[in-house]
Amino acid sequence: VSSTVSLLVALLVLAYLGSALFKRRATRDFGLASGAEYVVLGFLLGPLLGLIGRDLLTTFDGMHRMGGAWLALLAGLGYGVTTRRSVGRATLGVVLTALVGTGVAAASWFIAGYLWKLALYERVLLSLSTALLCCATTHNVSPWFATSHKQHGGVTEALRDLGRASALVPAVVLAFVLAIAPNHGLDMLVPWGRVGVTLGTGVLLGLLGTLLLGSEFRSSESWGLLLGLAVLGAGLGFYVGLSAVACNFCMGLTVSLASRHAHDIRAMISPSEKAVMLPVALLLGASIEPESAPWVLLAALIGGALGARVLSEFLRGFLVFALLKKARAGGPWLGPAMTTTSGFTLAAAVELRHMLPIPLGPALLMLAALGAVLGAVLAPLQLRRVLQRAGELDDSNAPLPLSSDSDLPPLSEGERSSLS
Amino acid sequence: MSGSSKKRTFGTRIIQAVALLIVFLLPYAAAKASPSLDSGLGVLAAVGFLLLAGTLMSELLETIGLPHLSGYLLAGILAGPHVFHLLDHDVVEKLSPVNTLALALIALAGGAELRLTTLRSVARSVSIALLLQSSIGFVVITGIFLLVAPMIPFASELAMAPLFGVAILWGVIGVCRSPSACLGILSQTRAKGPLASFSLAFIMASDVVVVLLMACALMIARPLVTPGGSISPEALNVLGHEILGSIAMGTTLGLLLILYLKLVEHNLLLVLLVLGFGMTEFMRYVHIDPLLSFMTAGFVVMNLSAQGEKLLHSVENTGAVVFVVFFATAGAHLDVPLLRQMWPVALLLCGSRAIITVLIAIVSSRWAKDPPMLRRWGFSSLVSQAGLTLGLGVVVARAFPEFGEAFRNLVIATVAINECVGPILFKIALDRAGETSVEAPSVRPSLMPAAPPH
Repeated sequence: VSSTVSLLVALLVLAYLGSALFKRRATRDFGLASGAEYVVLGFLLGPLLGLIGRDLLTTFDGMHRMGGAWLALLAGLGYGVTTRRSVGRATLGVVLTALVGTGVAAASWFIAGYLWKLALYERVLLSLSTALLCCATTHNVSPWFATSHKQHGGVTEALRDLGRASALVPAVVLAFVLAIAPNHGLDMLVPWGRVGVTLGTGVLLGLLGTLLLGSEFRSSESWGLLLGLAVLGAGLGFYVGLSAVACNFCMGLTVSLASRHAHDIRAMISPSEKAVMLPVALLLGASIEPESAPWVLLAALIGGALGARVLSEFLRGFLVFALLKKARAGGPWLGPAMTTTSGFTLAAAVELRHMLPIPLGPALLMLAALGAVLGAVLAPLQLRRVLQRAGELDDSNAPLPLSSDSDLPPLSEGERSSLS
Repeated sequence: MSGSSKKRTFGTRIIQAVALLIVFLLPYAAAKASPSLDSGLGVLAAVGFLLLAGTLMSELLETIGLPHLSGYLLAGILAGPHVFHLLDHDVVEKLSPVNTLALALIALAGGAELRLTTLRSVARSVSIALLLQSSIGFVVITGIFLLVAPMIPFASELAMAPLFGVAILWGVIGVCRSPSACLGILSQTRAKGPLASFSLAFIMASDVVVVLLMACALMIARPLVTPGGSISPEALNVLGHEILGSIAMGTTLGLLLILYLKLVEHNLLLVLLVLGFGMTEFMRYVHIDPLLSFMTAGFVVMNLSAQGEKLLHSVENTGAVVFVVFFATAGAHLDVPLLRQMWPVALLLCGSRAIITVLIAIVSSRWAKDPPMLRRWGFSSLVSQAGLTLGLGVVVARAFPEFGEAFRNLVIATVAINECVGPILFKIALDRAGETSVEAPSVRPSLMPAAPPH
């Protein structure tokens, strides 16, 4: 039996476990929201033990990137949900994400210039890329944490909304980074034109999806349609060398804002998030190339970027405390709780790894992997304190909600069985 | 997609037509805007394109009464390497894993559709039809090949003995049917009734017979075609082991599926993907026929437990996406230039095969005392040919390199015609027989037992 099929089966089993984690009450407490443990597992199986070789990983490149693009679609749908709930909170999320990104970009600009000695063009690529990988936070860590501890509240909701809104900035930056990066097919266009093509294709596909889904929601047909649109969008992005992740994010955002079935669609495909994220995380861990650059330089870049992120997160936390009334009960030290890595970040890292030249791509992948691990360690500790302070954690035996997405309407029995 | 039988408005059709145009234009524009990229679309873009274009094309062709399957095929043909060249040969080849998964799902669904009650009700009709189609059909198609051999470039130069060997192989190809086309049409139309039950039971049983016939034909043809070759009964021994092994493996798999469906039930999509990719590879490795194994597994789940409907529903949900890509890829595979080159002889062979099939179906229906509707339309599902026939063509090409490639090309040319005509014929027959008029339920029930013959 070929190793390709063996790895494929292993990934499917992993997806099965991921999906079970999402659904089952008994197992929901296991597994971190960012899938960081699977990144570590991938690293152990790949670079450390050599069980997943480079050739084998190359076979899965397309699938890996498609998984990332699917996560981006989900992130786009999520951003739309937040915008529909509260435009103000969505805007605040975008502004604060840009702020964190600026802090990280400044740090990596300095490191790229003075330690890595990169040329101006590469410095721009590297600092923008590190910024986009370090500015987004995940929408599901606080619901995951709170659901594990059987509680919900204002801080939980605020963190989730800010998390969802945080995907917009890196999506646009990613579109720009890949538009100025080498190896794209649309040579005749200026960079901003390529950004427009990336985002415009996403919007066009999103509008097509909205129109084709029509007035009546039929889950079996919608699956095929959304899958087809997402795969086409991602495939075209890969083909012309533009960002498939940004394209699919825009598609999800457009569907979410334009379609009257936005909630149904999210309810239908959100169970696939964990199922896709875990294999993506595992392959990301296995794709790490520690030898791609001198370790001193890697350590400087990663340490500098993550350090800048943590500092910027403190600032983000203070601003959330100051500006968002609902989150005030959690206190001013919210920042570190938002250091978790989102599925979108993993998707962006996978894309950058494939599209940027060595050593930038591999270095950024490593940054995303270590960022995921750092977030998985730091965020739950701080989140526990914050939620306890807000009175959103207790150990009572209240029944668990079915879905961790409390903004979604409750599902009927029929919908639950069709989703399963 | 399968199962959508709701009436669409004119506005919806316009939207679908515009969407189809955009779906074709997007990859075209990408290719034109990137002249530095000399290859066709990547695999992922191809999958997305085929899924969307196939779905939209099928919806549009539905307005003129054509089956969805024809829409999938047409989308593939148009996008393929010989028409608009949106997909090149390399990409089409790389889509073969989709075929692996689709064939596993088709076999699983096919087995699950074979309810014992259904089989009992059509047992007499199927047995007689199978006997006559596989014996008389085989002999006559072999004879016709011998007659038209002077028109076939690679056969016209052969001496009598090798020509007879080749004709035997062609005879087996002639009696091969298409389970995928049959299931594709039944899945779309949700047809219920004697014609649907008969067609399904006949084609599934015919699969096993054709595999056996091909093994025998290869054994007989070898000494005729290859100088110094001899008949080796060892091949039958190996085949016997393969068939028994497949049934045993399928039964085990079926029992495991019953347990899973009963105890866990969730995430059937992922389980089917693991089965489709992982188990198929494993079975090939241990020389077990995946098609027969999955068919047995489906049969076991449907007839030995109450979990059959769940399995069928899940396979249909998964297949709804996979089948579109599968048939669209088959369309992209069609070698249009080859068909243009060989169409006279291919048309002759297809036409004669169709006539023989119809005549034998009439005789067997009268013998079996079938109801009038089955007597009239019983042949309709037997014209289609697709993946299995192409697979047998590859087997022959590998076994006889001296003429195999030319033989395979002829198989491809005839399959191209039968693949396009057969599903349309079957859909028309189901419509005329009144078996597609039932409003689609939200969850498709398995085929009901056919009414007893009057």
